[in-house]
Amino acid sequence: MGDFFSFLSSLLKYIFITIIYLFIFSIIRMIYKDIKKQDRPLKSKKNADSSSHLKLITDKKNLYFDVEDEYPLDKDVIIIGRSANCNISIDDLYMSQEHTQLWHEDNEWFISDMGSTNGTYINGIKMEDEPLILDNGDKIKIGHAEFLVVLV
Amino acid sequence: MLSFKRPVNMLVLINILSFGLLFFYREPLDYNVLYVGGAITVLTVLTYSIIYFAHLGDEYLFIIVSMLVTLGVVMLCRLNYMLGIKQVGWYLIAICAFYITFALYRYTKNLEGLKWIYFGAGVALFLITLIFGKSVGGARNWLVIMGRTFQPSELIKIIFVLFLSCYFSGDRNKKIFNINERYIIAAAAYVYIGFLVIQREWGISLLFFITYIILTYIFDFDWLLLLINGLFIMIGGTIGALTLYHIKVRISTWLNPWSDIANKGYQITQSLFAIAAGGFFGRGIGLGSPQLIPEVHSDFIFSAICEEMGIFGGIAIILLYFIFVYRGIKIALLLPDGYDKCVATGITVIFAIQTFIIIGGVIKLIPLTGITLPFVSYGGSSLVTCFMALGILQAISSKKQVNA
Amino acid sequence: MTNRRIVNILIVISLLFLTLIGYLTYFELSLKEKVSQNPFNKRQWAYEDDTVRGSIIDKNGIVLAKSDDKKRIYPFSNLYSHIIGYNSMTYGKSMLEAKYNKLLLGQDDFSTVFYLSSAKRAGYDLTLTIDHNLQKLASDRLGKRNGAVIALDPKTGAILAMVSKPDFNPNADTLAEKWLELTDNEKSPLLPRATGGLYAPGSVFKIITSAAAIEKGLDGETYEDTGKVTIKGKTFENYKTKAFGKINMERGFEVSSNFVFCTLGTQIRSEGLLEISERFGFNKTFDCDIDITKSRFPQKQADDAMSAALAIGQGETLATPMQMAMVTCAIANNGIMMKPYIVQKATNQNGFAVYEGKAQQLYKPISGEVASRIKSMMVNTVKKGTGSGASLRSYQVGGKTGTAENELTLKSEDKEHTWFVAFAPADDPQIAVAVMMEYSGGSGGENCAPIARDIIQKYLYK
Repeated sequence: MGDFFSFLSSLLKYIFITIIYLFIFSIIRMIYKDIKKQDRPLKSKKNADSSSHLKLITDKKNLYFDVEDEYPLDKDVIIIGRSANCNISIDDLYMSQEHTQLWHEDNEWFISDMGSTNGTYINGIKMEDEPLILDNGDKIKIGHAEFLVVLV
Repeated sequence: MLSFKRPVNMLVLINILSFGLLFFYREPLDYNVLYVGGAITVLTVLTYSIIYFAHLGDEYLFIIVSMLVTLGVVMLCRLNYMLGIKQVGWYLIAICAFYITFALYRYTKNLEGLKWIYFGAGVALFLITLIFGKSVGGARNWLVIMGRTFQPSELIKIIFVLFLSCYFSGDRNKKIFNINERYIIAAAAYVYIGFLVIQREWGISLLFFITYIILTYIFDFDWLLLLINGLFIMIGGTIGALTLYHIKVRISTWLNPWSDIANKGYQITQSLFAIAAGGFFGRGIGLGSPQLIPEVHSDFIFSAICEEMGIFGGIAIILLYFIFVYRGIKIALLLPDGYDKCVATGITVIFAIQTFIIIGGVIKLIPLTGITLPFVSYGGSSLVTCFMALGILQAISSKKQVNA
Repeated sequence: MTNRRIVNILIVISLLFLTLIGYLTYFELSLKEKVSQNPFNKRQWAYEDDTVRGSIIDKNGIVLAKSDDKKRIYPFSNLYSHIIGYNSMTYGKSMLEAKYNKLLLGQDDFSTVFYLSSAKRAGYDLTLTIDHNLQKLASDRLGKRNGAVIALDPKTGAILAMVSKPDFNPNADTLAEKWLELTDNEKSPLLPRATGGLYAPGSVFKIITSAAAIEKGLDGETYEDTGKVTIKGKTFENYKTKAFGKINMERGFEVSSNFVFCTLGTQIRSEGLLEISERFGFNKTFDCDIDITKSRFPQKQADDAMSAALAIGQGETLATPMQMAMVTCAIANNGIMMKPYIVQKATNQNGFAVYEGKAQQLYKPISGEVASRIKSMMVNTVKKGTGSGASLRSYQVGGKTGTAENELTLKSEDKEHTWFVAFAPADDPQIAVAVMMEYSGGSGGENCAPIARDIIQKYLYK
């Protein structure tokens, strides 16, 4: 191990530390930019989407529980279920405590079934485990209630 | 892509500089070092590109991990280039395991139903190790397959997370034999921990226990369960601390290693000497004396890095792990409730707690335990299983992306 | 819901990692020093092997310690054993060798960070404030008796001489040979009396008591000194129960009357004595070149009898000889106590000073007027009081004697600790001296004053 190596190593130790920290900071910066990008379209779309909603299409006369005609899609994550903790709480015995989840991301609305006993139906077809993207005009059936998805 | 600011380019730069430096370390000039450096750089850049361009999920996870692997291999080459070469060999195998695990997790369905199969697999591995296993350092926790030793407890970490996730994502109120399933699961967790205690793996049993507590807190919070767990650990812990010789020794060595500095306290004191010798920027690679620390290539590699790359180097490593954990948690947060969410959280938590336990032990913040620093320590089983866990995490993160 | 808990766990993990970083930084900033100097740290050996350890020299250039072919040589053996200490691979380092280890190895912050070359380096030399001739004289005059002799410059705090006995030979071979003997010996030869020994100060404490009396306006009384006084059932006697008749405080100081000072003690009370002692440095520690053990004055309230005992330097009071030397310096220096220091400078091979010791004020326990009053009382003590053994023809010397009872005096005769503190010349003090002999019997005036006189004489008659 000669003098040359000692000199080189002593010099390089400062360079190494600098590069490693630059590395760390650039990753942090990239992550931060990603977060910013995700937040912004959501925020600007929030006003427009405040008129997006779920519209009840089942005849209320046939339902033995209380339910609204419209539920606005005004949060990024909406949970539908029987439990009072849910964003949309409907006291239907056919619903599980937490039945379906809707969420808004990358300018799209997603829906997934939360392992409910009786399942969630999209346009008549029972959902699998995979989340699906909701389009304007889709029909969601949860328990006895069916809703029209209105996206603006 | 070629802009200096991209992390992957900085990683390549570090590779070039450090392996270039190590090239001059020994006389006669050692070309093996250059091959090792080249191999790592190529493997890393290749995998990173595949992940990035084929949109295989979160790109930050892998790049952070590769920096850790690089730092580990640089240190190992400096200690003994045979270790470096072997570690790169394991890195190659680990990356293959990464792809395989990724594909398996991504494209197969109905993993939730395998709950008791996972449990059984874990128990089977434990039993095989107990019966056929090799004893290393007083603990019988190594299996020998085709001449290579490997630690099954590393694999069981992943199985444990999968097992618990099956339960968390299922119906919590199911009863088996009229007892709420929750308590059956708790018993199962303690069976695993029991095996680890028998194998004298204090570090990993602590890790399992903490992970179990954390995951239960997140996904299945129940006061009665908390009470039972609390009682269990207090009773078990106190009995262990008072009667088990090994635990008593670890605690007393942690509190005052100077009193038996020649024997029991030797490892930790040498580790402290190394860290103290480093200063903020380190002594410089190759200019310190990390070889004075026993087990420096595995458990104490962090001390060697602190000696030669300084406190700033040590802090950088902690920060890298932290960003990794943050990223994993972020992925888990954005998932809807379900199996994937539990698995992602579980894997991230295991990495986080393992890192804390080993670094804490090595700097004498907490008692020393025999676990490895993920991705950095030398060790095939450790590296491969960590990449398998990474593969699962990567697969989960890619599911989200495809749907979007 | 679960998400919030996940975030909570993330916060916990962040705190854990922050603790790691914090502990590492804390370790680097404070614990590092104590850890590295351990003999089991082979890095130190390698580092020391590569370095020519610096020499230690007195203020006039006489070499007191040097390195020769990796061996550390102390040409004057025992004389500096309690100042410089030893530097041994087996037994570690002590005193200046330990405290200034980094400078002696040339390891300062600049070179540690930027050290590039691997050539054999030379450590820095230390120049002390010690005057070797004075040190030698002090040691010779103390002879075979156990105790301490300290000489300081009251204006700067520079330590001119510091002798502690018993002492030992710090040269490596002898040290190894005698180590077990030294550590087993009940007389603790490894203990530096001057800065580490704690003794009842006895009558030299009356300096502090007088200062308190003057401040509280109790100095104008007259007393009928009958040779002994009884307070709350305890009897205090003058030395040899001598009665001095009608005297004031000044005369009481000169003849060291316990009658007068015990009475003053009951008036000042233990709280008053505690307050002024702490001003003089009792119960306090401070950063210094040398480790000085904290001198103690009892902090709990005491009754009249105990207050009387405390006023004459008995009771539970314990002082190092250095503490009393510092008290003397304060009197000599108009009430300002300078911080003692022993390292004048550290120089590199080219003579360039990389470190310079500076005179620093430590405390200002009393005002210049009070100091001046006590100064004249101390001058009169030497002129016509118990301190006559220290008088010199050409210079006015101020001093105070002390004879302290201790645990052995209850059982046998002639076991008192004897003290003498002094300064000279009175009008412009250049030197302050403290002499203490443990368990010597006799009186401070008989035993210690002549030693102080000789040292002062040597120093002033240059």
